[in-house]
Amino acid sequence: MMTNLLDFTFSDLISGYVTSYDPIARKIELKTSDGRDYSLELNDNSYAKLTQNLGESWQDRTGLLTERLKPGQMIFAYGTFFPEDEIKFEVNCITFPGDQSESYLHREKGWWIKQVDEIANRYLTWQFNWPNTEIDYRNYRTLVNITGMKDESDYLQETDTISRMVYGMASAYMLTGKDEYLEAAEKGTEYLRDKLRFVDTDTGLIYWYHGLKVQNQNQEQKLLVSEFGDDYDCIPAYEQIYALAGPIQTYRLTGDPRILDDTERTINLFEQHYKDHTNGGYYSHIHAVTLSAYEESLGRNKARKNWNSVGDHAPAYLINLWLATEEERYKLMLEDTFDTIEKYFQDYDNSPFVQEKFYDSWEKDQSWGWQQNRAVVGHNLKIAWNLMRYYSIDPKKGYKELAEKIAELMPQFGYDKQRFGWYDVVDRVVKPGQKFHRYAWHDRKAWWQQEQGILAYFILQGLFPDNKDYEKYADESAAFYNSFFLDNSDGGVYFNVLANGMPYLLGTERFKGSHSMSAYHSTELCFLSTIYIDLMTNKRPLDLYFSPLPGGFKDNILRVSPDILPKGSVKLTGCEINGENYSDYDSNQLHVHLPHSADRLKVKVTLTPV
Amino acid sequence: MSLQIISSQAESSASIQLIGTVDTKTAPELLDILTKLDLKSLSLLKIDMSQMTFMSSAGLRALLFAKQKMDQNSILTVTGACEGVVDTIKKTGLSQAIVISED
Repeated sequence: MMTNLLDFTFSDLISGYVTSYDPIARKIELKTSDGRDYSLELNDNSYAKLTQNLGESWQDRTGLLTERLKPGQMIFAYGTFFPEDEIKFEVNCITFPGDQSESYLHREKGWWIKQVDEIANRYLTWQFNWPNTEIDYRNYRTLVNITGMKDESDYLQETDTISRMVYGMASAYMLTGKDEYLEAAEKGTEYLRDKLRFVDTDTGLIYWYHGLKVQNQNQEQKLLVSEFGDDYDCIPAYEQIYALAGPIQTYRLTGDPRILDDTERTINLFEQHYKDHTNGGYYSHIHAVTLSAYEESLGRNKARKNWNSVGDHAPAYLINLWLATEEERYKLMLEDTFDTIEKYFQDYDNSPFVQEKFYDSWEKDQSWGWQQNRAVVGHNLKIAWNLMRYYSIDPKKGYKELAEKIAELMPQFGYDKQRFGWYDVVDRVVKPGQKFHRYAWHDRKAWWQQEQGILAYFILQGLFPDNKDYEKYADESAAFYNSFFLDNSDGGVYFNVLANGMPYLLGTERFKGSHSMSAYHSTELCFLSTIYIDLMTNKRPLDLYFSPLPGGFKDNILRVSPDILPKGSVKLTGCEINGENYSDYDSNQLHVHLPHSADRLKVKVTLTPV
Repeated sequence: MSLQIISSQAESSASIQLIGTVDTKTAPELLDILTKLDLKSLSLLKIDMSQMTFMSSAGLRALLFAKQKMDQNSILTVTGACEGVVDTIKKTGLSQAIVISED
């Protein structure tokens, strides 16, 4: 039998921690994330740089190698393997994620706030030519290419991509207080209500169109059912869920009661048409006319449940809705979704990954489309992250055990131990003779899955600081993302990078506005990384901004907790309203008792970790 | 109340006459008739509602489903709709997606 030989040169990335550097021999000894040793050689053209945030210029470190290559320093070394008498690795470029060992740029105050500011600013320019032209969502388009350009022959406005961008704008406002982001969030929410909302006059339910085509000024083509292959001709729960993401993040700022009413009525839709009242959970798809999950025409999506239909409520809108209202109904719904995940998704006798697709009775569906018996690494990480958010409301032992199990397993089975970063879709089980779980399509890494890993390990570190692995994977994941996903040329972030960190820029993966991207995960990452780092791990004060409407929030209470945080871990230590100090707030509950006012207010609060 | 549907298609236009009530139970019948049309080839779909007494949101969704399958420059026109149906079309945010004609 022939065997394949690795006897050719190839370039790759090695990531790890310096153990020693010999400046005379120009040799670096390095240990990878999982403790394997490598020797790296510098050549005459090797160069080094510091990780660049968006909006920052190149920061060269070529002349500082001796000072920077100290033991413990994390580096990313891109170079070429030469399989000669020994396998040698010559470095082309070193990227430093910080200027000292264990000092990471992504943990510096303001790193993520600058990043969200840059991303939000760039999307306003791309979509509306702001600030030269006013923000007008009639000009919004879902398809924006890598440089931010639109196609003149394209007229598509998808509900979810607008909603996701609105989420980003609202989050950017909460962190920066810049008025343009509030304007973009509110105008986008208004556009969604006006153009993409279907108010069912028979039942009072609200559901959201898949999208809209706006070619003719006087006529709109409403898109009722999904046009994506996975969900074709159905109304997927996933789209209804994400339609609420932007409006609800905006509601947290403004208290606009119309948003709350829309949301209540959309949740009623979930309860009446998606919820399985017999077996629990939420169906993934319903029929466009009958709103039933049982129609034969739904085909492979008939009476199915999946990760998105059960698990995405929490991160997309439900946690944020609870934060803004603290209403029992939303807490119970959150608890129900997490209990469902804990009860049905675990399958550790068969795989290190959760089971994601199910039939009506929770029997495993391992024959659906591309999923088959495969796992999405990011969904596992997302479960760990969100369980740990809810854990601070209700510290159930089972939630902690599941999150910790995922956090222990994913570095072994879904992580790139050689280069850092999280893989995409993999086989849930290895076949006989295989050592590695096979990649479904490729070994690329998607931006949103990096986000899930970063947030999962940051929040785990915050909750359980004694486990040093959480800090390690948080830093490795965040360093990889910041070093390779930021588009320092055109702005925003890349959709995918190759395993070695090089951006993958072909086909639809050149797009920056499209389905699931559209400023959502990148801004959510900035928003929540800021919160977890400032308020949970590195513990320093954080300012947040709100702009409540007169009479908006119930009982005039503005709830300013930016995420579900451990009880008593943060206090509200300062408040300004319209630039003046204001003292009527509950420091422990993180509530501001708003003054009665005929005008909207601008509220700035300071949160301080205890 | 039952629904009677009379359908005809001539090249790029089609007409459907609705007699009776389009409610949750009968809307699937309307969808069935609509999806049997060659929707992609239609530039005009006329719905005669002059003998229709009620249309529920489910009926509107059937019409929208069909319109989505037609070219984006095509026109969906309803004629003879009673005040209640016109009101529903407006309340559901469809007044720029469906052309309401009095003919």
